[in-house]
Amino acid sequence: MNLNTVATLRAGALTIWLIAALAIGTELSAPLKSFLTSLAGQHWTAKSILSFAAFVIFYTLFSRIGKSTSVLSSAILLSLSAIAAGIVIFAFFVWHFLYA
Amino acid sequence: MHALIGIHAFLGEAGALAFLWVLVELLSPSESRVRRATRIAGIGVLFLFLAWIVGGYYYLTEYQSIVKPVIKAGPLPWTHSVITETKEHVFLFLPFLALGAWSILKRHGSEMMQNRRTAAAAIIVSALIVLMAFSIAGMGFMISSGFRSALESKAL
Repeated sequence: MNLNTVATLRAGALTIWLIAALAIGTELSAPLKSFLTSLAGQHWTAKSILSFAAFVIFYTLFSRIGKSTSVLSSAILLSLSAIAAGIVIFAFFVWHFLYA
Repeated sequence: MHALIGIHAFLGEAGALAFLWVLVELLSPSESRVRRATRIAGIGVLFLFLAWIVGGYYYLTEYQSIVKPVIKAGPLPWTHSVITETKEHVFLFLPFLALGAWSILKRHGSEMMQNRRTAAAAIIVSALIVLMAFSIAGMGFMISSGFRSALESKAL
């Protein structure tokens, strides 16, 4: 199996931001949390399934667009996305614990 | 102590070590090193996906109902509210980072002896996997400490 590298890296970056959005969204929006819980019994399970499904969809879309960017720049995009999204999630939960 | 925590930690750390191995192989890539790194990265992807499943099963069946209420009632509630909440989401990044690194090796491994930029791409993603996985292991230690301190405060 040979994956389209740029599509894999870009789909991974977008999926990471989706995970961050869902992590924060479920804390701020009770209806979103209830909706995700109704999908899979527990909101974390729904996030896991959704993130994998989103990765497959994003990968398919990026594969069709074609590769116009380099592997290195896509790898840097993925890495910076993971670092930035990790910091955003951590900072949000610190804020949520202290002030919410 | 729960066997699933041990299995989850083993799989996660083995996945991290696999990508540390990949990183070292790619510092001076040759045909055999890249071939070996590709195989090891594939195993690393498998380990990190399995760690996701095992850790998720433990989180849903044991942690939520038994461990979380104890930590939240103990002296270090932030170990759940900040650390577990961060860990359970940031951990989800790892399988996608691993797939990215493996994909670079699988598709562009043969170019790495001539094109250092593709080797650098795989090294960057692999290094991040190692750093994030070991940071997550540190978070696991903090969560265990939160649970232990809550139990100690009841027992002592």
